[in-house]
Amino acid sequence: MTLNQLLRKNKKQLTLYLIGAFMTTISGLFFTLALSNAFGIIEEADFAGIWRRIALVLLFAFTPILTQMLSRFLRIGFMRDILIQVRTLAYEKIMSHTYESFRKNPKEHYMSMLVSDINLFEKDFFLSFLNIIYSFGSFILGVTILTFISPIIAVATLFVSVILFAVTKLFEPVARKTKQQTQEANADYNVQLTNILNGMEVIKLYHVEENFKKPFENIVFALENIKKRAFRIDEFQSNLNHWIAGTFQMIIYIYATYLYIQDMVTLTSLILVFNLIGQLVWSMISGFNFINRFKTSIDIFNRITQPQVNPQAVNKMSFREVLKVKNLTFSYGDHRILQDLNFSVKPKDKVLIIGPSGAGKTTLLNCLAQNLSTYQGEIIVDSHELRTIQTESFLKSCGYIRQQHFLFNDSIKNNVILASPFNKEKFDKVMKDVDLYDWITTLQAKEDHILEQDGLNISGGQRQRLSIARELYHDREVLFVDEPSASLDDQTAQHIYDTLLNLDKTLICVSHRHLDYLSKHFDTKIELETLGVAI
Amino acid sequence: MRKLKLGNIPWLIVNVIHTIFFVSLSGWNIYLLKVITDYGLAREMDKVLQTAQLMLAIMLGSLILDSIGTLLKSKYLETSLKQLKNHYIHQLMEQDITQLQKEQCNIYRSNLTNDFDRFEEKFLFNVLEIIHMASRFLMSVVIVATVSLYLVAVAFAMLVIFVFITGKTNKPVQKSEAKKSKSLQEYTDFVNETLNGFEIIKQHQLQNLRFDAFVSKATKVQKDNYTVDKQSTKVDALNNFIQTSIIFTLIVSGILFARSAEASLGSLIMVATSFGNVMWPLQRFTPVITQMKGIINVLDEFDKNLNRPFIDRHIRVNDFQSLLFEHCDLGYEDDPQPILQSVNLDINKSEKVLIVGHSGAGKSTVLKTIRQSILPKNGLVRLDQTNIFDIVPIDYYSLFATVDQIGFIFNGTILDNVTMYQPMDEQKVRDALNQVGLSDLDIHEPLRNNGANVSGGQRARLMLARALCLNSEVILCDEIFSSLEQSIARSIERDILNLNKTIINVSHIIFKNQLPLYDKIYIVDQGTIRLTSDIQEVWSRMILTDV
Repeated sequence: MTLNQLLRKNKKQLTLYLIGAFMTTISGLFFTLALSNAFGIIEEADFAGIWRRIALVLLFAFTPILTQMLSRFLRIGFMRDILIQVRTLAYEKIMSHTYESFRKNPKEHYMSMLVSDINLFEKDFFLSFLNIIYSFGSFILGVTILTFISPIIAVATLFVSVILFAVTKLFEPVARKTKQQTQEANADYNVQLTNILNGMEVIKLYHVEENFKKPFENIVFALENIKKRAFRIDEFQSNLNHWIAGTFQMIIYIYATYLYIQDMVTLTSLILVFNLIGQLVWSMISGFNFINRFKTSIDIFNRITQPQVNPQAVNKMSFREVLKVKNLTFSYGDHRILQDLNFSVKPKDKVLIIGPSGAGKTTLLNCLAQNLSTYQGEIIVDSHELRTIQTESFLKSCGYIRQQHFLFNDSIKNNVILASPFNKEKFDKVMKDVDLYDWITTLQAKEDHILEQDGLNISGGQRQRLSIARELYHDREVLFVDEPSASLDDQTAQHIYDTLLNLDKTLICVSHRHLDYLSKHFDTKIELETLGVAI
Repeated sequence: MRKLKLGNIPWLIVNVIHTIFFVSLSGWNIYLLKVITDYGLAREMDKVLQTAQLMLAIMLGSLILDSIGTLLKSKYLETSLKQLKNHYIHQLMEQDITQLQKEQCNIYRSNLTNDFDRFEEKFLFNVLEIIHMASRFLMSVVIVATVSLYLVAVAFAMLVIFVFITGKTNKPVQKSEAKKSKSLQEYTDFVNETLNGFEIIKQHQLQNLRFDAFVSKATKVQKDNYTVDKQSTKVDALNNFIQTSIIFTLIVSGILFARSAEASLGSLIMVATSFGNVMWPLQRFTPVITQMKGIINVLDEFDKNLNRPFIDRHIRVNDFQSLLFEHCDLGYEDDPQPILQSVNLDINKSEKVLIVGHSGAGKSTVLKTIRQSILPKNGLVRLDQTNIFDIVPIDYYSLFATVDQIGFIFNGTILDNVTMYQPMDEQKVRDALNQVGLSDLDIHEPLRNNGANVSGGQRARLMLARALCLNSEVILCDEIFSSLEQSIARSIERDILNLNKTIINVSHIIFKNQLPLYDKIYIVDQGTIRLTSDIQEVWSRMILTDV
């Protein structure tokens, strides 16, 4: 969704916002009127005239307060709604990534999109939007009034506004570029923060606090430096505009004084012109200053919300006959990991993938589980190439037990069943299958025991078994398993293997341990060897 | 943190001095406005043009001074933020290891990103603005004083009234700001969890479920923001009303005063312009102060997050002969039930010690206690005769190198990950990598996302290389074989057992023919630990391991 579409979607709120924003434009004019009426007191001869003037001053002075308040109430609802939607769009964009494209960037990259970038957008977009409306609204209003008093001055004002516009244009590319750099620096800063915050315990254990402060200081230095540059560019542009505008106001005043000396204008007009010109040039300046900020905020919007384009898959997953791997080759950059693999798997087969560390066992599993798509060769499921099968339909029949066991900050139960309905009987069976049933009965809250994020309050083996339980509970036709016994002692490991092997499912499993035992029980063994070939 | 709130003081002073110069220059210009108007009224065109030249020259001077001001302001902001952020990290690093809490991690992150951004915007920028406003206010007062001292007294009275009002009206806004901080925190936590669990969420198609939760968190943030906006709108309107009443009363009475005193039109314009200058800072003054007071709580939060009771550790050590656990009950702070009871361990210098046991039996608890991540619930852990919690942390940790079960891979090159940014001979790093069988890796290859681009086995071996590169007395191994293939695990075990160091290896994977290489073997079983010399007993537990 583009920003335009988003605004159009919120037409009603937008209209209120615009009404609110235009309301502010009269406040400057009213202030001038209040002031000029105050000066008018001098020309009044009697008390009645003076009181009339004072009444007008009060009217013109207080109306803007009410309009300001009303204007803000009309605006903030729109701001709230838009920001909720922008956050949502940015979130959707991130979630629309495939595993593959998600992993191209560090996690902090996404984090800063959803946090700092949105903060930046919030700050810049609304502030500049409002100021542009306020400034140009006041400008048009002012120039119209000026045209009636002195057309020459009105034309001169328009001319100066063209100069100010040119200055703004001149600064635009460099302003946008530094904003972009600021964002990149922010992302780097976030990466460094992860290093320090997540690695704090390791840093302490190795007593390298001082060594980590240095790179942190460097990154803070880089970030604050680029922010400094951005600030200087903004400010310098604004200084220049102020100077042009101030000089112009001065010249017009001298010209008006000349007209007065020549008896061509009255004293009141002189003051009115002086005030009005002041109003106009200042609002022009702020308007132009905000144009660049407005544009950069739109850049941010586009970057954080542009949806990920994923290849369209059309076929449904169906695995009735055979899964065929033909000449499968895979490389990470210059490193070839898999070369010309050929094998096939039938439904309910138990397949074991073995090989030395770094030989590409997990990579092969990732290719088969649709987590990597940039392989060469073919993986055919029944009659469809794997890449043409819709992810959703694929996931309905395939489960994947990964090496990294992620757990939500939620109960044991919810971590296992996730979005599926809870079936106590099935749950207990699964827990017995992974040898966690006894442990759960010792817990006070049983299966409602709350786990910390990443399961920090349970052991590595328990984490591993919970993630196995999760896949068993979901009961998929095909199960990809990566090192199911890594953190388990042998008894538990055997129990888990027995469970997996007894499933009436297709099992594709990677392991580097218990090979003698496993070789006996699996139907097919695929042995990978280290290539380490640079291409 | 709070005492650093004003940022870099020297640069702040430079900015104050500069602002005074700059404002004096514009004050001069306002004075010349009076002069030029009076010449105009006297119809002396020559003198008008002369004054105009001077005024234009001053304006050019202002441009130059203004640009210098930009440089100075940006320098102030830059140095202040560097100072604050580095101070924060410094404080964080100063914490004792027993005080580290993983769940605080997100709070620290939010402090160092969101909250600092807000602090910069709402406090530091406003400090500069207040200086500017105060200078303009004083300048205007001086100008008004040239016309009437009575008006000066009124201007000061206004200032007092405004400061008083400000103090009264910003309370509810402060409260809402704190609430907003909290919802932002929850939002950030949720985002963080989502990103960590990206794969599981995708795999189980939980997007919709998570999506609703996300929208509700995002909505809460914006709703709280809306409340802040609403409240400050009311507060601002009230302040505006009071200010405008006073200011226009002043302007009108000023004009009436000038009218009766028959002052020149030039003076009148000058007084009006000056009042305009008084009015502008005063109008801004209230919202600025409100914002600053609202945000200063953030620094108090920082202090609360960072300040921990001081732990006195003063005993220095540089070597040890023995590490003793005496009748210790070990477990986690928030769990009243200990995991292991009456643990007795006796580990002497250069001994090779193996601790075996089932998954979940509590093997890692022992190591966590040695690493001081948890305190024993009962009993003492002594290094020679000293309680380990009395030893200066850096001395204590220098004795140990830990190879972890989870371990953390930093975003950085392999070299940085092994050396942890300590100066070290590259050859030494290569030797260590060689020893753990990673000689084929390019040490300058960058690692990302907690090592997502290395395999599980490579990761474990990197951790080991890290430990080998440090000259520590003791190597603590926590399940390092679990993600290694047999042959490599076997040879690594042999290598480390041959090192002239104390080795404490916690593992559920053992190799029968290497068991005799250990001096002591402890079995973790039924809630306690016992020493065994019966290799057959140890072996019989490991029914599956290949020989």
